[in-house]
Amino acid sequence: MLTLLRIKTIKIALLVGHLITVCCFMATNNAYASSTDNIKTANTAQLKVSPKKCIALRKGQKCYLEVVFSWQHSTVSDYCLVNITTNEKMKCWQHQAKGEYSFDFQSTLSNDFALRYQNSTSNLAQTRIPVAWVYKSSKRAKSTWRLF
Amino acid sequence: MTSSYSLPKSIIASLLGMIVSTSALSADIAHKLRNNTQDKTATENYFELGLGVGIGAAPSLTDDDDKWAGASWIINGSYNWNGLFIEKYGESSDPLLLGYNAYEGENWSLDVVMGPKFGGLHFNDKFKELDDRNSSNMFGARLTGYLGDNVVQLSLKHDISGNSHGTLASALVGRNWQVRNWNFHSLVGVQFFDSRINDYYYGINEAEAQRTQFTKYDPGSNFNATAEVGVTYPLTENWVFRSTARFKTVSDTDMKSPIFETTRSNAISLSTSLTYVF
Repeated sequence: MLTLLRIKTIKIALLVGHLITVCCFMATNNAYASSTDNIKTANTAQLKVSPKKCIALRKGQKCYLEVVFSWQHSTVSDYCLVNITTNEKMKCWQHQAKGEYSFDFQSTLSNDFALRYQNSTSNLAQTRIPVAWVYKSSKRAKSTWRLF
Repeated sequence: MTSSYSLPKSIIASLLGMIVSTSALSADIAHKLRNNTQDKTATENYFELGLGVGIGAAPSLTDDDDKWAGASWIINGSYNWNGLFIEKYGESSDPLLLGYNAYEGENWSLDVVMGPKFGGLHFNDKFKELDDRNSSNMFGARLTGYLGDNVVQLSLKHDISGNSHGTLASALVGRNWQVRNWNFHSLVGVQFFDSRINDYYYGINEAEAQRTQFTKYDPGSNFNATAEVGVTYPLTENWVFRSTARFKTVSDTDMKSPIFETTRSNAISLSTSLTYVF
């Protein structure tokens, strides 16, 4: 009987040990995951533009909009705001982790913008100024006579 | 699909399209200019609803005051199918226009057009003893040219309904320019009304003179000049703001007609509107 009780006690102890091990592993894993998330969050750059949309009266017309870009990054470094559509550097900042830039947007098309490290072509964050219009018209055909 | 501003009753009703209303005599050139379509675009497919308010001064058939102010719904739209089109623009003097685009070139476009114009007199008891004036069905051609930054539109139309048997001609030139997202336009032109149109709508024949207090009147032909400046601004993808100032001369030929209560040598107006484009 005693032997049986001891075996049961050992089994329970082993089971508890396993449970503790699993719990510890899970806890460690969670800690690792949460630590990874923190790193991800910390490395996530943000780029915003306001106001967002440019409205023209007619398709094909140049649209004008005074906008403000604002960006931030967890790491102090050298960054540039780039117009991806035209492939132009609009503004660069040295040893900064955030910044703002006022810009007079003028375009017939939607434009995409990105925050990049100064000497990089990788986009850290992106945003877009969509160009929309009220009237959509079709271009006339050239020199066509119509017969009744 | 248009609606004139709530002018005095005399204006809403009838002949007024001819002289009193200061709506542009421009058919759709005003629409082209407003919407910055001088870049050679065809009649588009669209529909819009809105509300307009306006003030002005104009000759009146029934009121002893030449000043007016009012508001009304605006319904604009056009549809184009294989060259066949229907237009109804609030800024045009044609209430409804059916047409066919016969030729489209690099700089010129020719449309064959037809539509009702002018209207009746029996909206007021003052005219109940007169013969009513029916609408004319004006049929003709409209030539639009895109010359540099200017849009030129010439039109010649004749009544085929058999009511007035009149002929109407107009020559207009306009341009638009963009300042940021504000679209400005200007337009000047002349319009010719032959004696048949004037006689049918403003004349008093022998029989009418005998049975009413109106004296006999046989008007001749006349020219009117018009000028217009306006601005259009897109508030959102669907909402559009417009404002327009118009000036139009009124000929003595028209003002000598005994049917007018109040006469003026011109008609002026200032209007503004807000429309939703579907």
